[in-house]
Amino acid sequence: MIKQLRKGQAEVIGGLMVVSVLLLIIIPLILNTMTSSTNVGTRNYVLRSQFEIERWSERLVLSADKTRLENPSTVEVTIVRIWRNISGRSDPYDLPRPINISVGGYLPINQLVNNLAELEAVVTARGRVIKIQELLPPSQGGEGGEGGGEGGGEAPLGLTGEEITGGNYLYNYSISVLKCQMGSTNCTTTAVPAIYYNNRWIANRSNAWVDITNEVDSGEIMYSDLDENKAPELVILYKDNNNKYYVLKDKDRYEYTIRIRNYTRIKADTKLIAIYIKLVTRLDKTATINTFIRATLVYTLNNAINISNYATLSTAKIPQINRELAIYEGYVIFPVKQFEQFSSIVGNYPGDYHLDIEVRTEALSSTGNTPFSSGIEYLAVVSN
Amino acid sequence: MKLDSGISPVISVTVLVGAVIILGLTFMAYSISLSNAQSSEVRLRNILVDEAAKTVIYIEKEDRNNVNITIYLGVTRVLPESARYRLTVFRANEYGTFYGLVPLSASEVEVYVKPPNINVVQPINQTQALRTFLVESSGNYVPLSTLGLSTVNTYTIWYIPPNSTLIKLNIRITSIANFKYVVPVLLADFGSEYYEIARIYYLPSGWRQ
Repeated sequence: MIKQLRKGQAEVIGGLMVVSVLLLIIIPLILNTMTSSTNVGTRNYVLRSQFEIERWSERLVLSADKTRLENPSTVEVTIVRIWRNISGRSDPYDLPRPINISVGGYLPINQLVNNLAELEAVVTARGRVIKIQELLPPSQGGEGGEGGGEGGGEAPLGLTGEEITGGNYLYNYSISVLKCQMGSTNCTTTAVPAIYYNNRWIANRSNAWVDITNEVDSGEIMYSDLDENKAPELVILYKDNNNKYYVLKDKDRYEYTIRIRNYTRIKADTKLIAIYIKLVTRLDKTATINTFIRATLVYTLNNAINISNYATLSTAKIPQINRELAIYEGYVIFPVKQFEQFSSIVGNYPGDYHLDIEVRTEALSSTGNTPFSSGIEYLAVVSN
Repeated sequence: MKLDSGISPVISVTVLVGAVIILGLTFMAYSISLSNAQSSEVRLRNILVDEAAKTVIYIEKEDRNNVNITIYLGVTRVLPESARYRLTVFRANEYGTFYGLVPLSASEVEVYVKPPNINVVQPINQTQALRTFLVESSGNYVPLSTLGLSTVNTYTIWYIPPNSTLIKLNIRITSIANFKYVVPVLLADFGSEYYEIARIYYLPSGWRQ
């Protein structure tokens, strides 16, 4: 009986040993194939996702004078091919040697084609196709494009990037300062609108954008991009007694009105106008201030549409906050057809309207030592 | 009598041990061959995943006249290493379905490739549908013979860095009149077999929805 039991035990132990040996062989094999496949898959997807991030970070813009392609993106852009359109015939042309545009760098257009009109698109090494037409500002993109066709004003909230004006796109417009007041000092006669772009102060003086870097006090750069997002803001410069330009700012109160000439085209049957704006204001932490923004579309002296007066928002009270920065960004939507007087202006005077933006900032409570200033980062008008 | 009972356990143990060894070895050989087959399958999958992740295909431009739609495709790679592909072109009405793909014949599409020359028609290679695999919606590679095809027209595509490859597809409008999408498929070749690594469903601009 005992002998039989021992025999049974031995069989069980023997069986376990055989099974263990088999498992020892099979399990590492399976694990090995699984890990190798996971490793290869992960490595390649990391590689590809990194590539896609870089690919979609690529961006090129056209300089204001349309002679250079600039790279404002965070990655180097390599052009490998261009599409040239000569006499209506579009052909690809592989560059004999790819051209790199470093971050912040530029490429003169004449290194690619004789004139910009020939250049249809550039293709990058990462496979981005950048169409030159899309780099042109909306006003240059084709005459009469606003007539309800492609890219024209759909619903205001369907604003597209092309309709937004800011940075170097402002160069396409003639901007003047109608009013400049700093405390009790009137600075209108010397005031100019300006942006600090590509390390230069560019101002609109006598209806032309000119480089006035040498005339601007070197310390004023700090007011050129208040929110430090690398998108320069339109600021007002005024001339001091020492003949140097300074950014408009004050500890108690300042105001200015700018006019962007022929900014938008309004159709006779327009029912809704919306203005989109981003205004960045630098504050003193200890102050409570009122910032008043008024947007007006002007056809002639007597035919103006006061958008913000009748619309929802024109004044924003900014309480004391811990940051020295307040950002107002949003729409002012104006249903023209609700107001008979404006509806008739639009009906009787369709066409190009100037855009007047009035900004007034004043301290309501005690102020500290920091003067407050503001800049317009971008704006847009859409109508339908 | 005693001798008999002494020999019988030795013989039976020997027979049993032998049987166990033979069974063990057989099972081991079977599992090794199974694992080898599996690992070669995994290796192939890995290479395909690798190729698919490294290959970028995109649309550069579209032109049209009364007769043809011309689609320019670009091919580039994540890492600048030379590669050879095969291209085949289908049409389809439904996005993403393998079984709705209908091949475009040589008279319906002309393929031009740069390199070597965007103005010279690329010669056709006839590949066996049984050895050409596309990804079905389940994620499995399925031979094109399941679509009832015996051969497929393919075109050799080279990628030579740093310039991206440009492919021009000249497609007769009549050939896609009853279809919604043009579907170029890029294949990687392994020996005499071809596996899909990239596919685009392209809806020509202005085409009906």
